[in-house]
Amino acid sequence: MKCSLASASTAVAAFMLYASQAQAQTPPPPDLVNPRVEIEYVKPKNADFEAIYDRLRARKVLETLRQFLAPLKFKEGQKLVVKFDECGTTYFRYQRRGVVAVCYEFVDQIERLAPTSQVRLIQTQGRPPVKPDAALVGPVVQALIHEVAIGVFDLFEIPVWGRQDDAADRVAALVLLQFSKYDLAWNTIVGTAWFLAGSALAPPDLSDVRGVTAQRYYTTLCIAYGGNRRIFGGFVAAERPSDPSPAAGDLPNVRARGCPEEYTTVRDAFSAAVAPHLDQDLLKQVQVVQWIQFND
Amino acid sequence: MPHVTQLKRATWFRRAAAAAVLAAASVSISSMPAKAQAELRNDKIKFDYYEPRDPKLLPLYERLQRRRVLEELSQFLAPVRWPKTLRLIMKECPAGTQRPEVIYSSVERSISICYQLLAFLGSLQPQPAFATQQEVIVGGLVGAVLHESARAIFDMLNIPRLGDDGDAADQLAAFIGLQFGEDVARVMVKGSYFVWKRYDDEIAAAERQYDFSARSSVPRQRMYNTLCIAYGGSPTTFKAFVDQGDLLSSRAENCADEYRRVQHAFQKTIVPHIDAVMMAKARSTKWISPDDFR
Repeated sequence: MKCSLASASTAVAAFMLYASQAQAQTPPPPDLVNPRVEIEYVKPKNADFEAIYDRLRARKVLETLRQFLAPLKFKEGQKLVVKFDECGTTYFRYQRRGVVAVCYEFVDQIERLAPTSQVRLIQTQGRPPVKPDAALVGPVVQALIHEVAIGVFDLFEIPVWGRQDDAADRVAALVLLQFSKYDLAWNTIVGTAWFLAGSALAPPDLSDVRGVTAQRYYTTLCIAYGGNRRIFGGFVAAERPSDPSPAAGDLPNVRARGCPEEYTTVRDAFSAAVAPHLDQDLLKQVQVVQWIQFND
Repeated sequence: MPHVTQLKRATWFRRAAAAAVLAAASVSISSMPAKAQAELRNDKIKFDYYEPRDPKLLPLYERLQRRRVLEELSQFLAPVRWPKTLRLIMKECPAGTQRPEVIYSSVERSISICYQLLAFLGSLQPQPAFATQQEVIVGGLVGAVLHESARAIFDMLNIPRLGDDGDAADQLAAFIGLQFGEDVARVMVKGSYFVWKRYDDEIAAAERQYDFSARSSVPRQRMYNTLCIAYGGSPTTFKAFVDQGDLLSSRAENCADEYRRVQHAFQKTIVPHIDAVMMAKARSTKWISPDDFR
């Protein structure tokens, strides 16, 4: 199958997310955990979300996240609460209390858009195809890092220039890029891109403080391409030696040219503003763990 | 200065330019206290007026020099401790230059204001109930210059930006515009709003699609972002934008928070690079006078 992200994004709901008890090949040490990060799977009232609730719990998504966030250095009395919750909408706006939430409605939307079988795109030639599990796990992981970033900006009083949600998207892409060793960066970012491309068909709300979905799609890919041109070059037509004709879902050349600088800008800002709040020894431990093993 | 009768005979372009020049870059030197003029000085800022090739622009070139527009902009930017020389240039720009035609170049460390921008601003026709044409000209120019000045600040002071540069510059421009009194704030916000609305109207009229693949926010988003910072920072002054539906209430309810975040970022990242004494002088200076809108 060869198609563009945009045209291939109407896949039906999948059933395999979180069902299996996949464990990382390099599991995180048991003591690698951040006690200041509290987690909660809020039981949904809507029975439609019970299966999602069960799958997320079975896969220990938040327990893994709490380990992943071990390097965060909270001040005395601070804590970050991360939860899956039924929100009544797909998005829960952060309210400055150290509580971040990803909504079951959002996960449901991800499941509806994920493909049920592997999809080979023009952009993925020479790389792994879009895998169903990556298209499910990628956007969930991205959303968690995005929301945690917003909570961290607030709790640590990190100065954020630019729109907060856009900054959180850039930070999420930057973080995901650090895990290219096990193809995690590729799978999570391409999975996220798949979801965003599918969601971008909805009418944009230009008055919203958040960027529209299409902008989030291009920005995520831009940071990825800017940070690792070798892996993500397939998203720029001119870098596809076998098929350099433009395709839907490509990063346009005019944007792509500036992506290395966009990547450098967010990387340097992260180093200056976020890194001081990270325990460097714990960060090294985090960086060698394979945090996700995809089921497919 | 030309006589009034001369102005009346001038082309629309010259009239627009004349109006814009009156308060370009947010300043009116005639209204500035002499002491402030003398002390708002930074040797790291150089300026130059390039003579245009287009003879139609020559009167504008001459008038801008007489009005000391770049001298005044250099005073406005004087409180920043620039690590390298910043050049302010007034010039004729090549056709096809991105709009609005004020450009910060990180290579040259320069802010170029194109004569052509004044022509565009002069073509704007706001409803009288919203603003006078002169207010929109002055505010549009101030907004565009502040935006590129913000880019210069971010780049030259190496300020961390986790979000997009363009959005960040819009935030900083709006925030700065709110710090010099209600008159400056109102004119800057109205002018910026009207410029972004005009660009958005042009997209709609031409039935063009928004370019969401571009790095920058689209004009309508930039319009809302600027309004939101303004309303968040001064809800009384800008309440009318919410009442009239220009800024949706769903966005407006979070604008105080958006403003607070920008204020926090300003305090933490920009203030350490500001000369506090000069900044106090700049803030106490009356940059725009009623004469500017005549």
